Amino acid sequence: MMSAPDSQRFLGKYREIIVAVAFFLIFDLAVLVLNFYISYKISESAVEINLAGRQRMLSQRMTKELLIGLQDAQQLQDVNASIEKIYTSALGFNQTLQAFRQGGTVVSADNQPATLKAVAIPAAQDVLARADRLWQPLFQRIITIKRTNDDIRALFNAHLIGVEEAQDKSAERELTLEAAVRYAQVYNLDLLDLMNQFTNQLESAANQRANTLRQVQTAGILLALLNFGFILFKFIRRLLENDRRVEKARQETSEILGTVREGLFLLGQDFSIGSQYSASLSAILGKPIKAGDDLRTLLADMVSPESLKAATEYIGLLLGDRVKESLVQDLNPLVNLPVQLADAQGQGRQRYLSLYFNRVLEHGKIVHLLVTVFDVTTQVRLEQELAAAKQKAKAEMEVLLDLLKVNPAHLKHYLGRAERELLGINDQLRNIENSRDYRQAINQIFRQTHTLKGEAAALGLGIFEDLAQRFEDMLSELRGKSTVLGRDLLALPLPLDDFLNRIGQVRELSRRLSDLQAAFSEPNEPELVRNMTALAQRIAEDHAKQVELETDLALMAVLPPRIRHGLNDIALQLLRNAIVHGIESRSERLIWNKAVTGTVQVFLKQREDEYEFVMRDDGRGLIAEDIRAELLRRGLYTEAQLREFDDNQIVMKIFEPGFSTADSVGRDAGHGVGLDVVKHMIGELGARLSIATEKYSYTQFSICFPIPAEEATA
Amino acid sequence: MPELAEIDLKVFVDAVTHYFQTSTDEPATIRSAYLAQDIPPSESYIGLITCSGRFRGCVHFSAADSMVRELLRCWGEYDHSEANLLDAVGEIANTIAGNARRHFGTGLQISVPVKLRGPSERIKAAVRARPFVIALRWRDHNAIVVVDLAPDE
Repeated sequence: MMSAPDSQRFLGKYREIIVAVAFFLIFDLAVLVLNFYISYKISESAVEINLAGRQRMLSQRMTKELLIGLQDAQQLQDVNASIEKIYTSALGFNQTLQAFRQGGTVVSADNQPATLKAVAIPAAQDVLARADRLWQPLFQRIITIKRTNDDIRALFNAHLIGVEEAQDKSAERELTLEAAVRYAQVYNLDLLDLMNQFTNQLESAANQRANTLRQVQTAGILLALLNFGFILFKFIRRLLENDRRVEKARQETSEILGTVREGLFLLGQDFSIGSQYSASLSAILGKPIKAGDDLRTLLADMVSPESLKAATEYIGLLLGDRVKESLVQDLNPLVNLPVQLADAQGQGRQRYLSLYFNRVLEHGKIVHLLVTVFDVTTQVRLEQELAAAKQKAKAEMEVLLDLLKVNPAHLKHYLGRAERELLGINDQLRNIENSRDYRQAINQIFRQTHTLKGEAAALGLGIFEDLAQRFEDMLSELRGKSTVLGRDLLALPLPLDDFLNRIGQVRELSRRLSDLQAAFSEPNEPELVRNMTALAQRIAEDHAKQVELETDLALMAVLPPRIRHGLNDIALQLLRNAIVHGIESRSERLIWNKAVTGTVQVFLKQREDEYEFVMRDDGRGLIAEDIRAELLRRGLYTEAQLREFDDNQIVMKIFEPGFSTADSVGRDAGHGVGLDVVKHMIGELGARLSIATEKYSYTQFSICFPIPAEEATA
Repeated sequence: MPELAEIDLKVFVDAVTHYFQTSTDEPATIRSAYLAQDIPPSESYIGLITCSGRFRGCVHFSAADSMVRELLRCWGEYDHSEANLLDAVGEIANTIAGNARRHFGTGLQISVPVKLRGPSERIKAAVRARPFVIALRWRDHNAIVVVDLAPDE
């Protein structure tokens, strides 16, 4: 059954052809009806023509019988038979003539009644009227003859008539006959001619009808043929168009199926693969596929019987209509299914396939399942690798936590010892000469490994304990064998390599932890002093100067880390500055009568409610003129602007970004950055900076900050 | 990527032992297996294949001069020119490559074997910190298969 939209679509698609066929039938029917009608008319005309022909015959027969009757009467012979014939003919003629004129029933030549309609041809009616006018006087005479004769016969039969009276009556009958014969002789030919005309007119009318029928038939057949041609044209065109569409659709389907990377096919109710499937299907399934193959048979070669059973049941569920598709999708056992497939070289390889199913419905009934097959090997392997990597990362973390629990000295000792032992084991393996040595070597290696395991366990180094255990298990297996062959040793380097790798990793980890610890360790006085001393020496050497550092930074330890780190950075920066810019070269110091070795003092003191950090060098001091000249030279200020600053203001300009009095750019000075950073850090500490300086004598930076109350000093 | 396993090492070694079995009716046996330290060892004649894909690095078979000569004699080949000696180790390397292709499939790309006169600089550039060395013995001669493959990260 076609649904309403389907039937509408069907009517829409084939409307032209349906209409054309309907027309074809109508034309044929019309021609047929017309044929019947005209055939009937022709048969009617045939009767009329026959009857008209009979009129001609009757007119002549009546004349002939009248003459015979008259002759019989004159020769005193029996005229009854002649008169009966005359009368019968006259009645037939008259009845037919009247029927032609006004319609009526007549007796045809085969004595069957025939109904005639009044002749519709005006000319024929005219002929009939003229014939009637000629006929009626004759007909009246014949009636008189008949009546006279009937009277005579009646009188004879009743023996009521005498010889004389009979002779009179016969003479009267003879006279009447003579009169009729005379009339007939005069008008016989005219009546015959009129009946001829009438017959010809009827024949002509019949011919005309026959012509009309032929024309109508010809026209009808022509129309039907045209219609047939139209239908044929339309039909062929539509067929061709449909063929083109079907071909295009087939081509597109072929392209899709040829290009798509997934395996696509339709699965029938009997688990058979449909005729259309993607080209990649064979490659994905690792075997040639053909239409009609049973999916169960294909899967049987690739998966375990349990998987096959689960797959068959699941597909069976989908092919049935008892369960909803969406409800069972999550139960699909054919997702990430491990299968054994042959590769291009024919070797069996494990791959992973995922098969997904979608029902294909037709009028609400499940006819097929659309099956999509994906090769998800790469994805599954990546997932497995990811899981392994996570596992590994977790294991690494556990190792790290283990290590944190172990005394570093013990760990270091164990790593060194284990490495030596393992390399020793490797040497033993390398030096084995023949099979006689195998058992002895295995026993020796077993003992060494067992010792390594025990030590690892004692130190709580679970990771090494596990590695040693795995190695030991392998060796135990070999010890249990009655004969040990060379190929049994093949696996031994693997755990050995794992163990050595792990030692390397732990060493690397320890080193990083040590670096980390160094990076996070807090600077304290001794370390700061050490750093400052080292820096001072390096800079002094770089600049061919001699410097002595005097420090008193014990109070640093009680400062909160934030301030301690800040002061650390400030101290190093100011020290660099003092040596590069403050302390003079040896020759210059000699000129000014100073000791060759310059002195830098750094100390931290507590004064009432604040701390004071001081750095003082006995160098050349901050010379305002030099700073002023440098500011001008660097274009930081104009001469006019510089004139407006007093010397104290000029000195403070050394903290401005971009200022430097160094002659050249080097590792320690000349970049114009440094003191502005110090100024920024001082600001961050909430400290106050003051500078005291004397030309050729000293420079002192004092940084005062309040005693922090709320911050922890740890 | 997973590390090399025993079964992977067997692929390379079996290729060699099987080769000797079929070509001389006398199998090469495994004497021992150990880890190379520093520079992987090599003998006078080396047949080497390089790999990429699942593993990267190289595998080589190398044998002493006396062994390769004896192998040629075993075949009835008395032309012991350098080219012939190299061809012999090249063929063994070719067998190793064939076995590896069958075992690893398309996941491992294997080069055409290269024949080298040892010691060679190409052997020194090890991928592993300690390549695997499988020491073989055939008749009284020593040969080694060095597997220097690491998972491609």
